[in-house]
Amino acid sequence: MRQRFLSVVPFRLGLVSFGLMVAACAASDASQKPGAAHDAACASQVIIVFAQAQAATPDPGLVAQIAQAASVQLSYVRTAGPGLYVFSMSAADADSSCKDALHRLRQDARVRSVDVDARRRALD
Amino acid sequence: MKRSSLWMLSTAVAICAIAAGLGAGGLGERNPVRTHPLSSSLESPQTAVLPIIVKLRAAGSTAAGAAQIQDAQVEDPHERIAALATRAGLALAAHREITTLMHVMLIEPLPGESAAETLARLRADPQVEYAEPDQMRYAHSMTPNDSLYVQQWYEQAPASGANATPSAVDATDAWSTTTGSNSIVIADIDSGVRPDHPDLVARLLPGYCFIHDAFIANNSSCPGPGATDPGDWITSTDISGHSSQCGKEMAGPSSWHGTRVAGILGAVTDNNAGIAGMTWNAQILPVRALGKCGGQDSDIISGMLWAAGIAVSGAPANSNPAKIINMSLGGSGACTASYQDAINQITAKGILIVASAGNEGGPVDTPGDCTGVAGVSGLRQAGTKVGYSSLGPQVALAAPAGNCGDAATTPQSACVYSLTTTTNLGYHQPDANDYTGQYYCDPTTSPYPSCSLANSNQYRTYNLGTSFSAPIVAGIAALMTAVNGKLNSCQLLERLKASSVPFPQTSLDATTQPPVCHVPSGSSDLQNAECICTNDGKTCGAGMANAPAALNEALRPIAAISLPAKVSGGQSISLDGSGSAAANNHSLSTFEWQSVSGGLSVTIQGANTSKAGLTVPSCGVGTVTFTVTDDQGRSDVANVTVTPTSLTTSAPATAGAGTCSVPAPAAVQVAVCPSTSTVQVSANETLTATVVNTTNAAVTWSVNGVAGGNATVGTISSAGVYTPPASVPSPATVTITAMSEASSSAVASAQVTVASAPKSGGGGGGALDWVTLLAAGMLTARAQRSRCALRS
Repeated sequence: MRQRFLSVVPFRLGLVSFGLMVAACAASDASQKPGAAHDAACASQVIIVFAQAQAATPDPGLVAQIAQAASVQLSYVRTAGPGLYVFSMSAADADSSCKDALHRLRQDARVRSVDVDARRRALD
Repeated sequence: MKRSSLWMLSTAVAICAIAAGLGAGGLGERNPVRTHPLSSSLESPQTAVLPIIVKLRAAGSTAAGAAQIQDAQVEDPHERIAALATRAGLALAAHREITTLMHVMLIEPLPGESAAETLARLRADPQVEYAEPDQMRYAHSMTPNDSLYVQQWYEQAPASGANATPSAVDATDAWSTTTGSNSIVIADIDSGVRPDHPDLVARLLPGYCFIHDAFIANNSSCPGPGATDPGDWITSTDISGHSSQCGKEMAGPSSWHGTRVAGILGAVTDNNAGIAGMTWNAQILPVRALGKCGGQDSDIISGMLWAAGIAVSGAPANSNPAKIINMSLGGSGACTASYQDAINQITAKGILIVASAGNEGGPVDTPGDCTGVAGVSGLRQAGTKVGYSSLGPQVALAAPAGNCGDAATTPQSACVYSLTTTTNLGYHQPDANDYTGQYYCDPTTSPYPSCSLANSNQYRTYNLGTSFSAPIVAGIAALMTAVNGKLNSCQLLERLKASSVPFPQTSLDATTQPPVCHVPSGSSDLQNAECICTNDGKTCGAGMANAPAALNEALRPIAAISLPAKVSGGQSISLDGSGSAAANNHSLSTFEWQSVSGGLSVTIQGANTSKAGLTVPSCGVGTVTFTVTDDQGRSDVANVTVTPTSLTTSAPATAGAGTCSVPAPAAVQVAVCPSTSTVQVSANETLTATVVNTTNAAVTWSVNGVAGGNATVGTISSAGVYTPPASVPSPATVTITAMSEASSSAVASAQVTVASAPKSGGGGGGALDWVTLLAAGMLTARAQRSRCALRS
């Protein structure tokens, strides 16, 4: 038993390490790749206004830092207007509404506002 | 015949004579303004009594070179007129005095003599300053000849009686002042338009589509130039296959929503066909952001910004930026930061955004609830809130939204109070362009008669919703802009509200009076039945939109004040009102600067000039009003709040500047003077509290936080008289605070140091203990830095 145990532990450790490395690589790249988080529990299109003025397209480095800090994936979609950037957001959160992910983003001082890109209707 | 009878007969004859000439003229292009009857020629021989307005010269005053006439000294004007007629060789049939010198003379016709010759006789008399024919004039009624205008009750004057329509906005009256300007662009952010609609085509500018989702767009031209509506019908397959977009929708025909909104905004008017638009001349910029199952915020926001002339990545520059943006769309939830950000950018350019309140009967939808937006709630014809309209304190004002009365419950009955407008008959794809009706007509399901539809691919509906309240208000705003192009979005919004009519407090057609509307407590607090709008501005807005009243507001001048950026107590400064402006084609006549009583009295130099001077006070707070008046006696007033460290005003520095601070009532401010002082225990100290921006000048005093004080820290009376305690308190300095009774957030404090009383005997003279001296010295130093405590 002991021998078997000893033989299993290195295998499990290696598997866990490999898994962690894969996850880390995926996370580091997720902010740049559209649709990087297919297995995320929540996904939403959002409109972000940054605290600091950005160019026509937002600074990818800044976006990556903000995404990492908030444990979300952000994929730039387009610029809706001056200072208003549309992103595809996803996160491996339990709530499908992305409420927690939105809250984490809103806590970041580099983000002035984040809103879900909601649907509106004609009012007839 | 008595004089009065003769007068009436003569006037009637004159009217008939003038009216008889009506048929002789008016050929050629039809004048959109009601054609005035043409006066009969002054050159033709007169056959009826001729009414002439004569102004006599004042006694002793004669035309240059004319002989002095003796009867100029006669006091009785009747005798003067009779003498005048005799001198001129005319027979006076009757005479009426307007003023002592101005009279109406009814002259019997002389055989073969024309009116011009009769006038010449009178004008030749040195006693006559002038003589003119007393002509008929007509009210500037501007009833358009559009065939469906008869159905457009919402644009007409409010009807009275059994079918009263107190919510009607009376555009008919407003059109006598202006029918709008083609230099004004109104953006229609919606589902696009049918560009071939004959009642719209002349009004439409090239638009743009901002929809990025191909399913929502329902064509391949989005995003891209053009805003043609391909239809937004929804099938059950759409719902099942696009649950993220359409999950909450029901299958149904195309709405042609943007086309319906555009018609109310500005359909081609007075063209003998279709409907009349709220503005006859403005251009409509269609911006497509809605499609199947609605539209995304990001697309709508892009459309708003582009419509305002703000650059949007991927879209060409908008060469026709809008002055007014209509948004007959929305969704639940509070105004988002991204909407508010876009709205702030747009209103900073002076552009007004008008948005529907929503059709849920609950809290106001976004973006109608955003700050700086003119949110519009919906009214029944009776002036009560129509059941479906959302409501709340974010609403600016209300306008008709359409209601069907008993149509919903009585088969075959018409939707009498539909808001007739332009539409398309296509059930799915575009079909014939047409107008909304007063029945719901669906060849496959409709129970109503008289639909006259060609085939089952067509349908016609009545038109209801707060979507159509918004363009009524947007149209009024366009008319306002046509008469005063310098009004920015804040001023338009405030003047729309100020000109609105109070809501009726009963429902004219209800068998049982409906309840009073209340502010929704949350998203589930729905008021889906008719209710009485309150007149406190908290439910349906400030009142019912009224087009002529709004124009009267728009015609007022704009008071503008430029202030120095920094001031300090004792400094002489200039208040510059030269950036003020009158409405189009008018000029400013007078300026007046005045210190308002109640606060600190401020001495003003040059009080009747555009630039006034004053010396900034060292303590206290006061208000200066600035009134500009135009050549018609219309005025505007702006306030400046003056403190030792600041001058503030909500007025723009220059009329016409786009920059527009979000309108907010001037905050109540309180100042206490002196801000620092020392008082001996045996004496009293009187403090003065000045309160501005409220009519309630009362304050509540406290000492060290204790209302009225107590024996330990001293007491203060309601008049501000502080009585120290019997001995020096510890610490020796107390804080005395005045809180406005009008606003508990408006407080100001002063520091009073209590010193020992002078010791009796011992050579006289008082002595202060060293703690008191130290405190007093420190406070004196502080006092030199700031002589006044001021808070708002």
